[in-house]
Amino acid sequence: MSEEDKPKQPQEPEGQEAPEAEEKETPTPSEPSSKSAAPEKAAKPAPPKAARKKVLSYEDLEEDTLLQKLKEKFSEHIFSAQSFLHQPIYTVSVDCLYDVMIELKDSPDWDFDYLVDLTALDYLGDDKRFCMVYHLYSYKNGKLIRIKARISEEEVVPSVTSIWKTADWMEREVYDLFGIEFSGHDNLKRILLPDDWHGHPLRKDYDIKLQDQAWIKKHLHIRKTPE
Amino acid sequence: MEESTVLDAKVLELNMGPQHPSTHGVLRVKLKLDGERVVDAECIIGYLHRGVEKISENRSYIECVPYYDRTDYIAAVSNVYGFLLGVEAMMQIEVPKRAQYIRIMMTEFSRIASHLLWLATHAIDIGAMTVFLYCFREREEILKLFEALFGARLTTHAFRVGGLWKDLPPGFVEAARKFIDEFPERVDEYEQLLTKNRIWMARTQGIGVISGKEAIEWGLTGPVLRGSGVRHDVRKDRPYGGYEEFDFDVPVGENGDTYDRYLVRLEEMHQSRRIIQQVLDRLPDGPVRGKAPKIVKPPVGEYYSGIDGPRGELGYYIVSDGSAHPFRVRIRPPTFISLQVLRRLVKGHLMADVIAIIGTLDIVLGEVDR
Repeated sequence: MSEEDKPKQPQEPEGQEAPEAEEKETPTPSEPSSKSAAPEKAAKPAPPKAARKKVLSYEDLEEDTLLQKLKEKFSEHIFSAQSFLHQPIYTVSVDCLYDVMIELKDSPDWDFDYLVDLTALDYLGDDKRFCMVYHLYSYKNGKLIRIKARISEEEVVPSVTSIWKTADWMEREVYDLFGIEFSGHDNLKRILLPDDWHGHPLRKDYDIKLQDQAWIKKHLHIRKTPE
Repeated sequence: MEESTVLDAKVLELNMGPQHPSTHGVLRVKLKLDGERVVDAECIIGYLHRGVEKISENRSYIECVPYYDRTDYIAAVSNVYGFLLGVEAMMQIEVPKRAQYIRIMMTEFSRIASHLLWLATHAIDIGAMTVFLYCFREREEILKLFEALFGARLTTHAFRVGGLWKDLPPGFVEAARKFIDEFPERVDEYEQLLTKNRIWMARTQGIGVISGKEAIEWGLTGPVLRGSGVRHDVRKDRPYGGYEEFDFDVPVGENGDTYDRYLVRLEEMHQSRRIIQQVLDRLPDGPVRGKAPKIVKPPVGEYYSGIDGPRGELGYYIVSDGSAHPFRVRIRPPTFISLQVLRRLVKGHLMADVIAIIGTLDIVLGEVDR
């Protein structure tokens, strides 16, 4: 068991900078990871499984047809295409997010008619603090992709409710829990938390024990919640 | 000008829930009624919000697992399964064949149990009392199997990273076989009570109709989507955990109404039974737990693992920063997504049909609110 843990230790410092590394990171996919794991294991006879094990990293997709098509159309607004565990990730600029989404849904080549999921990530401390994450699936082609767009705290994200109706509650949830605003959403209000709640719990600077004391006092008549 | 009185009011606003037996939990629906006809409806949710996603960020990967039991507590087994598949993919842990097979078997058992509970409550909502008792009789047998293997009936904490907690207890295979041998007869009993029952047909046919195209637009998944004639099943289209080795059909409906969704779910129970039968016939020997580290620390990266739960596509989007705690776990809850279509489905129907439509969506508020 413990041998299994060790090769992962060196990655830990890297973990802290994961948010920044995310965009720029150009890993070395060509280097077989079994080699990189070998030095740590040198003292012990390497178990047969470790030889096969690869250290996972983001791999750049240069040849990807979808990336090339998007780049043709949106040029510098498309930043990169990577894959992690064979799941393709496309990073785009928020300025053209809406147009990219329309293109992906309506173009007969792609036909991403099913918005699987819509959520956000909070990289507290970055200039572009939030990252919108969309998962799209095409019933025709059986392809699942992920679209990412980084936004700063003040930026407003174009709503995709007019493209996929299903985005309605998902955007409301992101608005509720992250405080990200969507333009063009006709009913943008809190969904899981009460309407008069203050704060957005899924933000990284919202402590897990933090509660809206004023709300609790007003509605539950509890003066102070126990520590 | 005279003041308008209650009697003048054309549209009546009515609160259904949060404490209403047929809303299957704490769902509040604000209905606007013109006589008995629904003009508009608004769902108000969040009463059960516990912040599972926030809690996950403050727990280790292993500690997260029991929380997911409690999101969709009717099908706790498949909830855990979806998350663990994601973690195992990121950690590149190989799950032994026997464990894979047992996982699939238990997930399918959980699908049957979940559908039985759905049928029981759906039927009782519409007024068929007997089915409720029959379904609970069969569900009890499955819960006994869960108890024998997992030690718990409802919040099972079914699987562990790398496989299972322990192997099947003695007598399990026989008990499982006995159940699946008897099960088709039992389903026939429900069918006798309902399928050609004129009251049942009148209450469900043509109620809550949604076309396949619209269902896709609304992001519906699982039996609700398949009831509208879209043959999509994550188990077939993006096989996971060894499902590609098993032979089963994906039933679809034609009209996309409440009745078709009922037929689809009944057929799904038969198909789940088929999968279990194949698992039992081909169950390999060997260990049930792969080599998994004690401390789960996936490398920096992200993974979306979607499975076909009893209620539709249940997805876990896991983002790791390389530490022992997830950077973010996003649960894509099937019923949260499908509940938003309620407003679209109930418009124009009678008040009593609202109950049938809530039932046919098969929601679990624990998962909607998380």
